[in-house]
Amino acid sequence: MENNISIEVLKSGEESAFKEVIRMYQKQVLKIAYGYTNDLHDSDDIAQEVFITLYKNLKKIVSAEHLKHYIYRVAVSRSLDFLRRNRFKNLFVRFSQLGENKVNNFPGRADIPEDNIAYSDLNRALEMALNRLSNNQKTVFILKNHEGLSIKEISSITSMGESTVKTHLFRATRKIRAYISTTIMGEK
Amino acid sequence: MQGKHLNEKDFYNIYYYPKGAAELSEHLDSCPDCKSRYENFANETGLITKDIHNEKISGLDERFFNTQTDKIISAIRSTKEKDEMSRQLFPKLVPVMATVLVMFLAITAGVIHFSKNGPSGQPIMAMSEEDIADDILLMEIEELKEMPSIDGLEIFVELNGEGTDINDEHGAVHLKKTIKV
Repeated sequence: MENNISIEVLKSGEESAFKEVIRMYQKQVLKIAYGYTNDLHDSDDIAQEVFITLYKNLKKIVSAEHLKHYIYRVAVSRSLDFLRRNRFKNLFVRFSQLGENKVNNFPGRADIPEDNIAYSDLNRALEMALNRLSNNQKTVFILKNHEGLSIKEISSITSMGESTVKTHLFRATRKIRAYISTTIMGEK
Repeated sequence: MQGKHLNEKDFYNIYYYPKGAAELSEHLDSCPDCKSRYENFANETGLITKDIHNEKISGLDERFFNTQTDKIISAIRSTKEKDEMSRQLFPKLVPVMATVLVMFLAITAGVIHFSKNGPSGQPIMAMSEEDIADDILLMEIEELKEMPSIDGLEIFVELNGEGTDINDEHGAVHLKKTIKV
């Protein structure tokens, strides 16, 4: 994604420039939030919070790269705040949605063709596996594998050391592999 | 690395940090067994690390994102209006609040001053709220010394406009508790 935003214009509070930033990053933010919530409406709320927070703190942004890191940092932070606020609700929702195919529950989303049923089973299992990770492991896993960020960038966004990021990534991947092996492949 | 097979941790390092794992990668070229195991590992890891949410989010229509943008802009405009109102109101409120604060401090100081001193201006003895509630009588020590013996006399004293007869047992006990002669 090309970043043609002028930071100075953005910081002046010009609405059109800010709309452009929203357009550039809203899918990523929504995706990050969804990685934590598995719910579109909650993810939508979190995404709105992220951009409103960004607007209030525009003066702190110094460069395009800083803007990107700031958005990711706030997205992760707000998502984790959401998880903390809704600890018990999330547990209940997780159990009640076992066996439900959530992939089809989006507006505008086409039905999955029959030959993709196995694929969606894997996706569902992966979602459940992600939910079993600790917050730090999930954060690192999502930012590395879903957002394609480098270890250095993840370290900057999360304020964790690079070694810590690598350790979380290793453990997260290992946990998910083990979960998928036992649930999908029936290995023990 | 010759003669030593790679383990799972090595595979992770090659997968995630290929630049830093050059030596390990070179081993794969010379060890068919490790290469085969790594390829299986990479295929499985590729499956579990794929961006499963991308398809879902990308599948949302443009209407959803436009609505989200409108909500954000609307919230920001609302915040801007509130900030503007505060900016206009604040200069007018400051002198009013300062006046109220000064008056409050003055009243509080006056209440503390008067509550510490009796009508004659001399400090009265401290007592617990329980004693006050029981209508304890207090006299200045000099006045008490000049009085005749309490026994057999009716003495009627006032405190804060309320009077009580100290000759009854109740009053005498209270007087003994509070006055040191």
